[in-house]
Amino acid sequence: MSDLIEIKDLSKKLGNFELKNISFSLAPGYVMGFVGPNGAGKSTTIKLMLNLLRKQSGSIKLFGLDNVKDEMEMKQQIGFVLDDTYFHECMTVKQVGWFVSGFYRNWDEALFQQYRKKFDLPEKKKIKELSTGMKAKLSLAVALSHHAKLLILDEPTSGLDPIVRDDILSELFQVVKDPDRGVFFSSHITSDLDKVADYITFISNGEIILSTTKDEINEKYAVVKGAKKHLPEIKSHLIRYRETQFGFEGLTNEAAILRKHGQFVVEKAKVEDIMLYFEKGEVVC
Amino acid sequence: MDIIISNQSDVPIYQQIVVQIKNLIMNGELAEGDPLPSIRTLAVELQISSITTKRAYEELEREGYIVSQVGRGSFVNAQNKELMREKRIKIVEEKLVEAMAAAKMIEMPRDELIQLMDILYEEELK
Amino acid sequence: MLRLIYRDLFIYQKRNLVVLPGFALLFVFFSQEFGYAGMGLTIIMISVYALVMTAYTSFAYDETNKFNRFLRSAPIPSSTIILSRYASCVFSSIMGVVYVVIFFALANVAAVYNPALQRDMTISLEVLLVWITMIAFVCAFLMPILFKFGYMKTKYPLMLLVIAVPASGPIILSSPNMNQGLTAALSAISGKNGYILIFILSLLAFLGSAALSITIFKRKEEL
Repeated sequence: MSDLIEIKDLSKKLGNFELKNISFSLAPGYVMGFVGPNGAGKSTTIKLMLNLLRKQSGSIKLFGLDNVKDEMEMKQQIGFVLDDTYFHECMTVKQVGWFVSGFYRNWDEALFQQYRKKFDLPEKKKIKELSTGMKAKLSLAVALSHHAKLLILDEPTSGLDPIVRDDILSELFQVVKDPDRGVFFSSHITSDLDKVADYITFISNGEIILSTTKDEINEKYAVVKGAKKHLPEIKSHLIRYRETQFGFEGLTNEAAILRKHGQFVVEKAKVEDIMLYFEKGEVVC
Repeated sequence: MDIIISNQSDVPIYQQIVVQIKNLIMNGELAEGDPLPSIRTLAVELQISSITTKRAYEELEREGYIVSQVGRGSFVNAQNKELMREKRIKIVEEKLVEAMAAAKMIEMPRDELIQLMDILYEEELK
Repeated sequence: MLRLIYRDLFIYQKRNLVVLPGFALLFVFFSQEFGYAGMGLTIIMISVYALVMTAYTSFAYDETNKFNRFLRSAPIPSSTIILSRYASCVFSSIMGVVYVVIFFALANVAAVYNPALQRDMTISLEVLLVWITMIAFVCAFLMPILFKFGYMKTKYPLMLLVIAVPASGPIILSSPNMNQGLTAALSAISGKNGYILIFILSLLAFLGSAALSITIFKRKEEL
């Protein structure tokens, strides 16, 4: 079965910002988190995938289909959650479901009702009467109700309280119970990614910094802390580092080696650590 | 069947699962032929990546504890209890050899080593 | 496509469902000033008004809600998106016409009690032709501009148009010069051949504009 997402050398210039040779792929059955600071290019990449923006070079294939040549067929199989307010505020939940159902071949009304009830979204309620969390859940319900193979979400949990976030993340997790489906979502809420992602792709300033499994991040990568005097000897094992008044701390992908040393505090790296060190740490020359 | 993992521990999660399932098999809670939860169900329930659970199952299969069949799932392998105990004894032996080597390096006599062992056992009991 | 049209007509314009008949009534009252072509001109006025209002409202809401992001991400061909907008405007005009006809009919019924309400309900083929031409050309002109520049940039010129046309229309058209000019123009192209030619030209303008709009829409990037 072909990859759900296969992006190679994607480039795009938008004013001052440039996406440079982005490459990554996602096999079916997994959740990929797309993480990076604001302005790194997450939304731009997603818009390129959905053909909201035209790529300047490189290739984008979803389900093995070219995203321009087979655009309609490809989009039939994608469930997306972008901005949560694209529908007119006077539309009711029921109307939204009705409206979207006309565009997707595989729309499953029973499934939509299931999600609607699960998320507690009354049929007659208008969008303007919904809280932010409920609006997000409505967008998700819609995206999930046409048996989409791939869910693409752009910051689906920002601005939501932890309980709603957990609800939404659990749903995403459920999607990949089916080994033919997958989820791709961008976020800068790194704790969400720690919870739910199988793969994590880091983007910063228009470039992919790292794309790997969360397991590798947890096992091979680590935050190392130690006395300043030890810094020179282990610098070669660090990817980024930072000197503080009372010692140094750094990011390594050779956790095992540094653990054996015994001289340092070596802690499992979290997604947030990787992001912070790549953004703010000093590069090892 | 209980499987409890720690996110804070330095031990890789897949390893934790391997150890716990091994123990369940060793002390009989999981009998020969018992089905194991699917890789994905385990992942969803424990809220971890299915890549992790897959790895755990692969390791268990490699060591002969479980057997996986495409489309049917994973099951506890016929365990030759004797053989398993022997395997485990071998590991203890290896660790003891290591401890002996470490003791030799600092010229610790055999009696002191055995004494140390007793103290450690007592501490564990506390 | 139907859903898009429904949205344009009924969801975006709930208020307009009251406003449109309101304007229709207004035009019907003023139709006395239009002289012999009263009914016809009223129909044309309401059609243009309805068309512009529908276009203007739909584009405005779509932009505020960033609805185009949804449209472009969903499996909806650009042609469907564009054609539905054109269709909404045409249907809106037809709705306006229906209201006008109803009010004219009601006025004539009420004329039994108040003869001043009597209105002439004749529509000549020429007027019908002008109606088709107006709709086709207004759409043909307006839509590509809206697709290219969006509601925000064309808001004020459009508002001016919406006020100016109904206001000045009756004045311009009822002036003897215009009436003469119109009659002359109409007789110049009268006869079946002339009518067919105009009809075909209108259709071409309409479709050509749609094609242009589709190209514009496809070229645009949704930032």
